[in-house]
Amino acid sequence: MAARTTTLVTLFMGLVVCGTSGAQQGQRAVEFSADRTEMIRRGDRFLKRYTGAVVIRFGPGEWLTADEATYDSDGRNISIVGSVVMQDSGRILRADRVQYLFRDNPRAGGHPLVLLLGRVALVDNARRLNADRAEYRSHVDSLAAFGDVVAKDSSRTVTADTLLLKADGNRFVAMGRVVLEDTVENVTVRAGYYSFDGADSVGVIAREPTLVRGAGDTAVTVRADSMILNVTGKKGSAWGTVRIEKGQMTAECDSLALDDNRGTIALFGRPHAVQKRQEDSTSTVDHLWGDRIVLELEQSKITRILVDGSARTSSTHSDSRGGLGPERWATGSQMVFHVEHDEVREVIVWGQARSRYEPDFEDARESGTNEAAGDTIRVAFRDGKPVRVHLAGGVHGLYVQNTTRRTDATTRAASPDARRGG
Amino acid sequence: MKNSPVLIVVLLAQAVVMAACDDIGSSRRDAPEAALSGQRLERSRIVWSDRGRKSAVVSAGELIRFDNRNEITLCDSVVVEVYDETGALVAIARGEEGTVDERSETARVTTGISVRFSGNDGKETSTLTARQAEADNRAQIVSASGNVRVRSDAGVTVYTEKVIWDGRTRRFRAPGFVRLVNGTDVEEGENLDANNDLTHWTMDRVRGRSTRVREELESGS
Repeated sequence: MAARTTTLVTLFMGLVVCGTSGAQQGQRAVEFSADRTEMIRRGDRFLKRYTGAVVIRFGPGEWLTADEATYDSDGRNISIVGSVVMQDSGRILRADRVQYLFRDNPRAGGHPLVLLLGRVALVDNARRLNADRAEYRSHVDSLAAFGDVVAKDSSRTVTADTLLLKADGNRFVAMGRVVLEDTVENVTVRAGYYSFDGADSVGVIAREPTLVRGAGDTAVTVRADSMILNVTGKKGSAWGTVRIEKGQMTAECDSLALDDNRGTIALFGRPHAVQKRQEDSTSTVDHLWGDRIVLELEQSKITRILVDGSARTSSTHSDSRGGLGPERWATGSQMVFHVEHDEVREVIVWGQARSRYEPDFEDARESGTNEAAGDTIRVAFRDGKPVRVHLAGGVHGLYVQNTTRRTDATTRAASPDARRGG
Repeated sequence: MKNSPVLIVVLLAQAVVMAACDDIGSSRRDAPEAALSGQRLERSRIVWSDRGRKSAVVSAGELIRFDNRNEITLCDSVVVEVYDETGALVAIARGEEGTVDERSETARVTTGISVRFSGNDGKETSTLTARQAEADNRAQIVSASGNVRVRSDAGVTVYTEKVIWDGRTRRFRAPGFVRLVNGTDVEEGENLDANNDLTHWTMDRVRGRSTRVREELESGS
């Protein structure tokens, strides 16, 4: 859009014919035509109006058409009205009205200013921008679009109340009800502010940003105070009060780091994840805490969950009558959850690992409460239930048969020696 | 301008033409046969009036009046001054030769035509030159044709083949092709309608070419 600078400025030169003449270096000739012209001059001030099929040609492939164009030296502006179309080297700009304010116009702020008013559209071979109105500042080569702004390229669509666009097209700032949709990355961002710099492909998102990646059950939603996305680097971060949602799982933390190259989402600052499951008359709520939680994903599905520092997980059952279910939890310095098809297959806990598992009410007649402690606890699951527990290092185990149900209740606990034996 | 016939003259709303002649017949010289029945005046003036108000003054180094033709031949430094209804001078035409037909109230200037038009403030604001010119006194219209050029004091020049100046409105009308030049800027079109000093005009089917540098564009100069 660099050539746009020339176009937007020079398109007006044809309108001031017979204003004053100039013969200096760096001149550019402009050709123009119209059905009719009118000139009104008073001293040094004059008004020049072209009406009907106004065409201004700046060079090969560069032209402007409109219904009317008026140069007002007193008002220090040029007004172009009626289906205004400007084109240069493959780019087309449309608007109902265009006003060019000279730099000494009080509204221009010391530099020439182009106002595009009504059904503004800027189109080139790769992008399209629509807005209610826009302002173009030639000295910084930037465009500001306002009111139901929609900007599209091959894969991205940005809608906003305001869009500030550097004319090279590589930098923009969107403000007010911003929505960015990237069909290639399958990402939707909503925020009050979005700034993107094409030089490093980094986007800064603020004012209650929400990022949605994927769709349906596999969609991941991230909310935070602020976010940064590196599109080409496939990395991102979020901070403030970060909240992540994926299906029935939610997580909160102070900050988040996304690395698509490694397929990880890292949660920092005492993250707390909660997963709710509803099964017939019972519901289950799983909690996970740690100093850091790392989710490893493949094709938007979680394959592994790593928890560092003061790791704790718990699971709570409740039935439809509000009765509390069995107590299940595990703690340690580190935990790893191996996940397949959205189900935990194995949990490994390291470092002063402890766990407690109470059976479901209906299973209580067959099994009892199991407590374990050791350097490492490894629990294998099938259909959401533990099928094998392996303890290692300083093992201490305690099995309590449900005495209220079974008359032959026994208590089994590992001996101190056995704890060391694993 | 040289060798260009010119005219301009004047108007009179009424058929009554009062001619007042100064310096009458200071010398009567031999003349061509056709002029023998006429009256030759040197360094004389014709003042035309409308209801007592001076509307035009025609002066020349030599005036020859033919009684049987109702025609006055003007020679040698012809000057025609045109006044509006307020008595303000609105145009001065200068030429080398011309004629005045008193019956049709038209006048022709055919050599060395140059006309200066005044704006509303009485200052001279534009100059017209052409090959031929004819004034219709009744219609208060002056037509100029053949390489017509009107140049304003502001530097705008109009080139065309025919211009009609309406004394009532004090506006030019160029019905044909018009070329309008200001410095390096050129504008062409048809049906030019302009006031005396070319400060207000309209033109149809306009096309043109303008040249500016960036500084001029940004400042609107």
